[in-house]
Amino acid sequence: MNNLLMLFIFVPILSFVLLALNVLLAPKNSYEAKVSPYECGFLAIEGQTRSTFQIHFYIVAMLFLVFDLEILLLFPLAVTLYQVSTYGFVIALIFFFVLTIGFVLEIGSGAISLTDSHK
Amino acid sequence: MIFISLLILIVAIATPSIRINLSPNLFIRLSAIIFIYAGGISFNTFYIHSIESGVGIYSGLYQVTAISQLIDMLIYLTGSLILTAWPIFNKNSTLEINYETVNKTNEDRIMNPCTEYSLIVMFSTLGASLLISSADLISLYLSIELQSFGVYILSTLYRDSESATSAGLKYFLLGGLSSCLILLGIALIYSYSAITNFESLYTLISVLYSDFNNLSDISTGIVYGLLLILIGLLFKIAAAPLHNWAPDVYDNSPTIVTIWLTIMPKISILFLILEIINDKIIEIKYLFLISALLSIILGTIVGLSQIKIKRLLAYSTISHIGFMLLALVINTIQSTEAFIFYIIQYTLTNLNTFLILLALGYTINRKILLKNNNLINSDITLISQLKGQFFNNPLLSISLSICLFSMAGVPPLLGFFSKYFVLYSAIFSGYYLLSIIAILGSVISASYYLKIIKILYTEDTKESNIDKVDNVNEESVISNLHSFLIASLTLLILLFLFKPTLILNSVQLLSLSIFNDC
Repeated sequence: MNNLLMLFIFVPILSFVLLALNVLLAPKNSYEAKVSPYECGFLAIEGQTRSTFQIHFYIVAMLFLVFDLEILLLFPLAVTLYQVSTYGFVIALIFFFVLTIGFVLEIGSGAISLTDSHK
Repeated sequence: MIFISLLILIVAIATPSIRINLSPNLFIRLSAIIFIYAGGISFNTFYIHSIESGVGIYSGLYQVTAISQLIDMLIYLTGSLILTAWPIFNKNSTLEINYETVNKTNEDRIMNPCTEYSLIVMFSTLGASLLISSADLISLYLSIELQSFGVYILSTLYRDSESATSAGLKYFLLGGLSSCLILLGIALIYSYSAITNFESLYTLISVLYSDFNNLSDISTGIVYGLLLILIGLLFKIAAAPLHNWAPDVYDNSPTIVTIWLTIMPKISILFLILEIINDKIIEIKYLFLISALLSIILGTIVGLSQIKIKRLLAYSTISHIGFMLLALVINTIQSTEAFIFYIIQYTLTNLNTFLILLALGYTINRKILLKNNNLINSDITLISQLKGQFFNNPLLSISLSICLFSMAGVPPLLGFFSKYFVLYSAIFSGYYLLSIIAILGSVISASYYLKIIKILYTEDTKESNIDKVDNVNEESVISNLHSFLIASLTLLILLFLFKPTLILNSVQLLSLSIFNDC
């Protein structure tokens, strides 16, 4: 009847048919080396493939992302400041103020300090 | 209002010099007062004459109408009432001291779960109140995300407990999936019609559907987009068949968080659905009818085999959602009135039930509560822990049984009238099969409510449980406001019959205003 309706009906049916064919018809000879995940020859034991890392790096990366996007949202203002003169500037100031308060919370909860951070 | 107070609270929490001098109880009471004040400000907007037809703010992204303000008031009031359910941390309890003896140097960097709770709750309420006044697809998505993120973080509030973090992870992943579905629906609508404003969308749909024989391709795209958005929203309110996450999440979170999870997202998302759906698109009607049918059946039958009390309440929530979806499908003035009334009744009854469960938990597990700082150890999990509570706490057990009777739909309590309203409008519009299944569902669900009441009143004969009865002279952990609130809500449920116009008048006016100005 309609392109979109065909898409909505056909895609799920196709994916189910392909999965069902695999489950029903494929021969299964699984031994240990086949089933375990492949990591370039290392065995999947604790010491060989993964070591502990400090979660602090992840937190720093997340926070960097947020503030980088804040700077990114400053770009349109930088280009069109002449047109939006005072009103636009005040709006951007409010935007930065809100994000600065978030920054204050971040310092206060100790997420940035490199040593002795508890939470 | 909420926004400004949120900023001030964040600064207050973050700077150590302020935080140490304030007890965490203060933050909770402060947030409750802020909520009540915000509700008062929302009431003030009723004096503006143009509010019945809607005032668009922020260049058309949000729209303030009479309905949105009233539901705002409901959300803020409920939010402030939920915040009263924290136990008292006074000087005799060791809840503060544990942190200080552990780490003297990090003492200024640790936040009590109490303060974090009040902060996150305000974010979530801001999202909820923005959601019901949203008038654009973009602001819809933003508000849903704001509300949902707050609730995801809330459910993992106690990070040391494995069950709480598993509940939070499950909720976050599935909530993210449903937000993706909503986004796909928005993208589909935009790609077929290039509009995101609700008003323009309504106009477009009514123009397209004015001639049923010539439905063009645009209408198919819009209909599927709307269907996807509604499926995503149904996911978030735990309607069957997308309900499987709800019992696990509600059961494993601490009870203080479960109150928030059960009540707040449902109010806002159900009102959003009320604003979105209309009568002309048949596929939406089918979706809601199937969902209502499955919700009522699943919520009642699967709940029969539960032994944990919060899972049982989760399944009863699912069956209530089935009733509400039934009331949504029938698009008459009466059914919209029934729908709004059902939401108000559901909020009050659920709030009361969970408050009583919290109070029972505090009194049963008093010693554990005062020793540890984990509220999650003081929750009631199994129904068998409630055994014989009538003899220890007679008034609390009577209140709990009144609430459970109201949920089952026994006259002359509040729950009976809401179910009666919904069923009356369903039969009046000709939905006979669904009404019969709803009635049968009520009967089946009444049996598991009665099971809890039976266990409450049977006497506990085991020797080990008798030692847990404390002497009455020790000070109570339930705050005054908490017990006052349980008492007044129970009386409201019980005595609704004598002055029903308190709620019914406003509900009727709201419903009439939707239909005259839509």
